[in-house]
Amino acid sequence: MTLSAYCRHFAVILLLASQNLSAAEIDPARITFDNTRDRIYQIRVMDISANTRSSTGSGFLIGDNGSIATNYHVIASAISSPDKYRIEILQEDEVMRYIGTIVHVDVVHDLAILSTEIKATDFLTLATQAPAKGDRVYSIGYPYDLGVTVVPGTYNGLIPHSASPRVHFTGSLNPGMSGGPAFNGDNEVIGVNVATSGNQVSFLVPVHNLHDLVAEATTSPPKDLNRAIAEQLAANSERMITEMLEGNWETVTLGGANALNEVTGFLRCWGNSRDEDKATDDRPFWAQRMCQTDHNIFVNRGFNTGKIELQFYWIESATLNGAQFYNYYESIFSGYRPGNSGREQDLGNWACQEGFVDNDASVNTKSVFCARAYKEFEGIYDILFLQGSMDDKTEAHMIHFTLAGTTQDLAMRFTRRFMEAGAW
Amino acid sequence: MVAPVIRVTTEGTTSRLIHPTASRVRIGRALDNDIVLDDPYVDPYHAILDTREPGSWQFTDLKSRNGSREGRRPIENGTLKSGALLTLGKSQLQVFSRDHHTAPALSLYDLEHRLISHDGIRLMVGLLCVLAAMSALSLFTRYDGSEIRLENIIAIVAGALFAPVIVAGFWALIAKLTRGHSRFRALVNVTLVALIVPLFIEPLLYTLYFNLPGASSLNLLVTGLNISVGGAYLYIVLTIATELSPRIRQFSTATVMVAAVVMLVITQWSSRDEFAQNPAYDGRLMHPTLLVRSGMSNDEFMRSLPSVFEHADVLIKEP
Repeated sequence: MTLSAYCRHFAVILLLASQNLSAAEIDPARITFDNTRDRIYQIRVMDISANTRSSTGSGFLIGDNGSIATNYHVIASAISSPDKYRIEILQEDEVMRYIGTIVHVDVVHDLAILSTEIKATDFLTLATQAPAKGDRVYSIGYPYDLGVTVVPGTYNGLIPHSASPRVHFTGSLNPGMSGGPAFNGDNEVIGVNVATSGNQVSFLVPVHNLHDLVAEATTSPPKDLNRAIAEQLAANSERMITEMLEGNWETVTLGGANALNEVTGFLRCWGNSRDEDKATDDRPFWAQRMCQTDHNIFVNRGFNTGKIELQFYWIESATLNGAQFYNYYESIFSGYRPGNSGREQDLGNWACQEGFVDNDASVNTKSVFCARAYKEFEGIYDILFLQGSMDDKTEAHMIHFTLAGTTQDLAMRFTRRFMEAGAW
Repeated sequence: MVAPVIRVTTEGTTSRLIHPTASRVRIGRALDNDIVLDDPYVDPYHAILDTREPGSWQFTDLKSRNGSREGRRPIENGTLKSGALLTLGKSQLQVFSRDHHTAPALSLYDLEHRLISHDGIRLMVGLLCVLAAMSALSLFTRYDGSEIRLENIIAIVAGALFAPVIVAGFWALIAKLTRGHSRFRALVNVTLVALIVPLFIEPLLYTLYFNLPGASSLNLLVTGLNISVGGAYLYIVLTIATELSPRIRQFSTATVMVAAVVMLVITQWSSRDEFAQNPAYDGRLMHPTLLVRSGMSNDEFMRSLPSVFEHADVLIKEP
């Protein structure tokens, strides 16, 4: 080769090398973003009569019929009041606005699938394998009204003790990004943005739940969304209560009686008691143990369900007489509250029954059982149960649980097991 | 000449009846008068009453220092009829003819008489002690070991004792205005009784009903008790403090009681469908010695639960 040809080749090689070097300096977040942003949309729930947006979120294209995946909570109001709200789907340029129709929802995992008139056929790919802890993931969505944004973060595995599977994502998600996708390094969706706790602690719904929902929507799409939700709540309650019934019912000491421990993985327990050393008065000594699931299932603004709470409460007094102690005991016994809340359009009023029950451990108790029905979801109830001992003049034990969003059969099986738990 | 009968009342003495025989009755403080008034504000020779004309007597004031009055107006020379009330100094003379109409005797068993005869101080003190004791007992059983603040106790006890006095005072004012006598002590006693009776019966009812859980029928009973006591109290107080006829009193009392019942029914009925986030269950607990019945077994309790679900379903049905 002549020198000039050699120089030219060398120049070309240098040029190519330099180009490769700068390619390596482009942030992978940007690459992911560039590759996927055209299939990610903002979802606006519009109040039809006011013609303003009532809430916003994000969604992404996953299949035929312009199928958009998002969170259930982003479009929840459109399910309960379909005449009041319209779902609009658009991108940053706001050129095309598509109307979304709800195809299927998963209220337990907070997912929804909408169909639209979007003609694009190039869908996002759903990953089939979960990332490894420490892998970099990229979350994309439409935070507030700041336009489409990419948030890089770290995959930190599934959260332990969670009532439904959630991925811990170390990155700063914020509310408008709900329903948007989170990608691995291969531009595959590994999760759906769902919530944040601030301080770079955020959560994703694992993609396998979306797989399941898509499969169900394809094979047997629901005709009645409320019926589907009722079935999901019942199935979720069945899963949780069955796991509890098969769990570890060993007791621990609480005062002069017993309490249950973490019966199963998704219950978190803690206890506290009156600090006798710091006490300045003669009120009775109390000790309590409380176990509950970590989060509620959002059904609508102001209405949540799914929670399971257990509580064991011990009181005793060395200074009060019987009449005074029972007056104090009554004030506690009368003040129990449910673990979830709802609005008048969602829930009926409580129906209660009280009675004296001599349980199998030969303890005289006053027992209360209350239930309230869900107006839109047939066969689903909230339950409140309470049992207080009546044997002793100056000490007492109360056992209590609330179940939100369960069925009559499950509630009764659980009640029986709970009464026989040996907390006496 | 028709001799009058004169009722003389001097301050500090009980009234006496005098049958003067003189045709010209001399009245004054001097001891040689026909009617001697032991009153320092009466002149020694204060007035003359001429009784010669039947049915109308002539009164003449003898230019006394403080003058004389008939009813409210001053009199120097005037004609008196039966029933006229004269005031000389601080003494009162009421002049009657012998055939003056007298009212028939009151019955000793008349309700009003029986009520106003219960005006003894000893009875009042006794009732106040009972009320104080019941308040103290109530405070004692409610004590839960928290710091006792003396000002709270004083406020509660003072309130419990002053409230009946104030209410009775209101009715006493009505009595004074309509009847001339306040009858305050009798009213205080009646008010105290009206407070004590429910305070005594209510806990009794709660205790009796403790073994029958389910608060709604008990609440009905207690409300009925309060309305009955309130109605009886109103009737009694109207009897003592006003001059209304029995029929009007009965009618007013019945109207007030019916109005109270109607208002309660309306508030209950209108809030029946009100949405409540928390359950309203009967959480009454009492000392274990008051639990006389044995409880049901776990099985029986479980068998009773389906009816709760049925009731819950009924509550979500659209009316």
